[in-house]
Amino acid sequence: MGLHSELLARPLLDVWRLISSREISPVEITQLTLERAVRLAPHLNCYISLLSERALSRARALEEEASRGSIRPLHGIPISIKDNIDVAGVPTTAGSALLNDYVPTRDATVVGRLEEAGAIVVAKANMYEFAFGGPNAKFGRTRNPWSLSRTSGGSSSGSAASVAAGLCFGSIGTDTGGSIRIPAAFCGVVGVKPTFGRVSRAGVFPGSSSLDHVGPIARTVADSFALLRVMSGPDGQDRAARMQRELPLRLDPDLHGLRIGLAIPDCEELRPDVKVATVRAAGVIANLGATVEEVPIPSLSLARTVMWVISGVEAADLHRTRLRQRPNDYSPTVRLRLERAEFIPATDYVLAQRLRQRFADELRAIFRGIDALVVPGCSEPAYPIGPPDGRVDRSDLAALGRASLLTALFSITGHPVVAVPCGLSGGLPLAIQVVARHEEEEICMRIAHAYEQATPWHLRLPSAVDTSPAVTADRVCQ
Amino acid sequence: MLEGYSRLAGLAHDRARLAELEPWVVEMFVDLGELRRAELNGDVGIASLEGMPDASPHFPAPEPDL
Repeated sequence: MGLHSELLARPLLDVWRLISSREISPVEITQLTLERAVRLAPHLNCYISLLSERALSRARALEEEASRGSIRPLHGIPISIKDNIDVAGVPTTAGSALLNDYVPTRDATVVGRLEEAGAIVVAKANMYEFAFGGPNAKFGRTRNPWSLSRTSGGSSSGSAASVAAGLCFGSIGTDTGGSIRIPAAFCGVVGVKPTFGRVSRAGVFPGSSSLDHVGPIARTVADSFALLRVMSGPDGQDRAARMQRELPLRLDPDLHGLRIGLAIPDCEELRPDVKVATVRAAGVIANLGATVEEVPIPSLSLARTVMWVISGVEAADLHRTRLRQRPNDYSPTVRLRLERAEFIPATDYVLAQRLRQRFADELRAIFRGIDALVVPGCSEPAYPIGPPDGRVDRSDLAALGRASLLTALFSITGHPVVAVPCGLSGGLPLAIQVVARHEEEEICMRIAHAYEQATPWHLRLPSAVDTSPAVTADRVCQ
Repeated sequence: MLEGYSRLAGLAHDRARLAELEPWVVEMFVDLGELRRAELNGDVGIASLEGMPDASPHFPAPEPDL
């Protein structure tokens, strides 16, 4: 493996330091990233658009800036953007055939902030159709870099797979019921769902207006934090994005004095190996100086039902006109789920919102005694890819349901969560979620960062995409 | 019921589509029963909220817990 290929396996902040010290240029790193994407992205099916010319043009401008000694917080860092987030002049498909002709003229707020900070958008990433129903029929499924026969999860499937496979150093996804954390967990990378209102959703194709969050995916917690700091802040174009409290410059690695609650839900869907890995992770966190105690957790199954009811009704409302005008342009699974949601009684939607508030109150009560909560990331590792795209499959829908069991609660309450790798099972990544009080991202990310640095999981990179018989490229990491 | 609602709501499914949809809708109503049971029980799983007043259903933005 050559020096240049090894660069692509490094964390974002390492590469930024190399760019800052002029050891590598924005053009060089962008070219390397694009070359790797051309070779490997088709095998993973993780990108919808590769923006080579646009990215190289920006890289050249940033290189000139760097030569004058001007370095921005993400100077020259190649990233991908989920394809429901607008990049001016580039089609936004949201993974659907319905948005074929939509080319935004303005950047999403979050894209504008990242580019202002010096990031280079190299690709629009594949995703579940409208971030809602399952793999999309138009662009197909994204494969998992750890095993090409496995799902990469969703809905931010291409974002997580592209980061895990070394095709970029970070990606921006969206999370309505777990759509950043689930693919991050399945692909062995770090995913952050910030507090509701931390990051603007202006220029993001909505999925469910009261549940949608935008957040980063990267290879390390510190990388994710660097992206989140740039993305955060109030925005007049999104009424929910009103959070003023700024994040600190860097994460404090000291866990002494922190009180952590460990919650291992008692449910059949949770696999024993996931439980064991979560308890072990809590043990590592305790050894780092935090106090860990077991705490109860509200019903995850009920929280998931609340999330499905709210997201289903809000999505059905959003798609009301399109669903009547062009029903056949939706993939069968999405169409089914949207049509089914039309039959949810208004009283049940209001009841779900009332229960949602009770869940938030319940978590608030739990957080009176602790600073952060550790729970499993997903109930199982990445599951096998289902039947050919384009059919409604009951087992696929059941798998989607299992995947969101551990994530939905914090989606409906709006708490900040980071999913961080915590082990391997059968060669596939496992993850924990670390949750904090509203607006306290630095607490959960500080814990996740200290845990990550004390364990080897973020150093183990996938090799399936490189060793696939169809691909002869070099490995991501030896 | 499905046929009537579908017509009134402008979905206008044909019989084949309605037949396809019906089992999924029935299953969904079974799932919705979980919400009503939770309301009857008055808790969301660990019952520490006993005696607390019903919270407002107002959303979208959860209030910061500061």
